[in-house]
Amino acid sequence: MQQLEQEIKELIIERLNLEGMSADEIESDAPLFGEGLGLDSIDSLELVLGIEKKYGVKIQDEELGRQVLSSVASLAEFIAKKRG
Amino acid sequence: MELQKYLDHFKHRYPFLFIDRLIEVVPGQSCRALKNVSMNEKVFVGHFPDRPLMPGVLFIEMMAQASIMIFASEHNYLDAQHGVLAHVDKVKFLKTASPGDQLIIDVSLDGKFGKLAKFKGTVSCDGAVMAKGSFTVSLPRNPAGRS
Repeated sequence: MQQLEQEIKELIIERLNLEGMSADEIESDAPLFGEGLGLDSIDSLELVLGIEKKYGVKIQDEELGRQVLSSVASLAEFIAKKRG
Repeated sequence: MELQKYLDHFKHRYPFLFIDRLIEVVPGQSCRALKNVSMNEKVFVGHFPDRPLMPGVLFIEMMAQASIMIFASEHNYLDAQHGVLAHVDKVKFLKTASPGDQLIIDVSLDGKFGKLAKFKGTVSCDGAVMAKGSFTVSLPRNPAGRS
């Protein structure tokens, strides 16, 4: 799971062009949106598309998406579960 | 739905309607539309009085309007006609358009989440690409519908 979380952090930085930021600066349990990393709704779409492209895992339901995208840890858990 | 019916449902009007004809709409996937550039374009009054050139930013608007057509017929997006640009990414303007040019606008869906939909698009004339890039549109949804 730690490896997956690391990959997700790198995907976030690359996909959202968070230049100057390293994966170590993103805490797995910290909120990605709002007060945490400060991502916005446009970023959420980019992340959903990035995860689909890299892992083949679709996030279509908006409510579920909000929960899944809340932190790196919740994203990793969701992807691991979907991939079986 | 007949192609012209999409335009009937479309909310944009003069002087901000940048699609003259729909060539093909694949609901939920892609749209190809046509725009004839006329000497009578209101924008040419100011851009520029001595040399009429279609502003690059309007190429983006053309692609955005074509993208809205992709969802205009979907039940959950009855209000999609009021869609607005939310994000523009890596758009290049390669050539300029002037009166007499017939522009072909091609857009295809990259993906969507909630009310946001991301597209890739091009505007071309006589087979030459004039503008290309990615952009995101926010599509207001029918309150009763969910994607």
